[in-house]
Amino acid sequence: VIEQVLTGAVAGGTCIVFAGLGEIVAERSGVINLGTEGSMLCGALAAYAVGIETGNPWIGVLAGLVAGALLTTIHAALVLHRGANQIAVGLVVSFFGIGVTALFGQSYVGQGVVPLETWEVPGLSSLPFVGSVLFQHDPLTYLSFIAVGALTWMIWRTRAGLIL
Amino acid sequence: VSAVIANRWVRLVVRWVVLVASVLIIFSAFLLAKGADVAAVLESMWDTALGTGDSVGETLIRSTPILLAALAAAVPARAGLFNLGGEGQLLMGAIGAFVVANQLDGGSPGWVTLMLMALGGAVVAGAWAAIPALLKVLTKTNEAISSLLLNYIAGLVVTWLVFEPWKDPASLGQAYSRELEGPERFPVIWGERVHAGIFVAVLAAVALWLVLGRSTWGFKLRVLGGNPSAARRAGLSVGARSIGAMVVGGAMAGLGGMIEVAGTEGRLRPDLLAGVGFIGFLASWLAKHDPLRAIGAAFLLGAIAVGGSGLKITAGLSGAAVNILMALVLFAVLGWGTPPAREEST
Repeated sequence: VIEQVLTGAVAGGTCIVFAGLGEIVAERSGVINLGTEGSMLCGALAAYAVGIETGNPWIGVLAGLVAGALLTTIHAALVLHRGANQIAVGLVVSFFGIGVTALFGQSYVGQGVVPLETWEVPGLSSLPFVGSVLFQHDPLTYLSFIAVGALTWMIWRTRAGLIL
Repeated sequence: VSAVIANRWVRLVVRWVVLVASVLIIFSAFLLAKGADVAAVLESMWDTALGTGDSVGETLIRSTPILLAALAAAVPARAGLFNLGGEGQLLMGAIGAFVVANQLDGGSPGWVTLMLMALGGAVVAGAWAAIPALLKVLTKTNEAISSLLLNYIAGLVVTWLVFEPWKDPASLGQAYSRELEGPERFPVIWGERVHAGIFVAVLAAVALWLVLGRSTWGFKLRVLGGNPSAARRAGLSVGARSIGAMVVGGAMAGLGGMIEVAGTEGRLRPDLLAGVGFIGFLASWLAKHDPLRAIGAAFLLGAIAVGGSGLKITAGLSGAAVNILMALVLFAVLGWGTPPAREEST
């Protein structure tokens, strides 16, 4: 049971890891971005819609990235260029995301999308316990492992990270 | 001189006309992109929100808790604090009102019952709001985040109450509490649903406007919000005042929760007032934390929220799509409502 719970936690936690990483970048620069929820919703919708239209989940993933970034651009533009309050604008971005996904997402309800294939890491996935918990997931979960390391390196070891 | 003043007024009017027009144009563009009949949708939204007497009543009912949630954000904002916990404080107010109603058990005359329920709601929600304030003062925890997270806990408390101890025995598997009745309910004053609780909300706004604008307490809050270190050097006890501001704010939201269960809803449900705390927070920003303007802001956002049902009825669109319009209004006002004030961009 513990094995199943932990496997589920790693799979389910993936999206929270990515959201958390995004927020870390923002917080490092002293910005509280409450629009993360909106970015995630719009990213999910974009990935889903594009995934269905193209039949290729990876193009969907790319679309999700772009959509999330676009939404955060609204936040940045209003806060930095118009001097608006970051907490208030962040909350509004979340509402905006809810609205946009409600409007455009409705027609996709119930449709299936081609899922990313589970990819078992050769060798490691057959390890007892650790193998099934850590190494039998879809590629984005592995990407989240890598992203945590990469971001840590970026924040502490690169010029861009230290400037944040 | 009069030419200069006239010029300023013209610019102000032009600014707002452009803002309102852009908001409507962008919202219409979204509807067009979805392939909806824009004119029909907008007309239907207008009809459901403001077009008839009944729809105005519905908007008034919806605006009432939004106004009190706005006041819950406005008072701490004067002291430079962010209260994102309106959502949970509304629920705690509803719980407090129910506790009192259950204790009295219909044994007191109407207005005494309602006053004690309001007091109960305000006290419980005020205490709930004191948690992030205490954390802020004692451990320097960011009050925006802690008050936000307390919303989830308050929601779970309500869910537990309506699934277990307060579950209506006659509810047949549905999770909600018993219905408040008789002296525990605000009298209906107009149509079938508009109740007297709306006066309480407006009165609270006016009272807060007087207190914040005219009393020394209000003045000191503003000093604190303007420059905390100056306030400290001037001998103000910053901690006590921060806590006071949050507690008064929480009490306002608590009153809102009490009015909702004693007025419109009658029952405690898991999704009671979902989203209202956040809409209220934004109404406070729309009103620049002025209690009187908050009345207008709450009415506007309440009307937009009610208009969402219109979206659903005519165009078959999701009612939540109305959040786009709400967000556009707020983007416009927060971003372009006043000329950018660089020194405030913290």
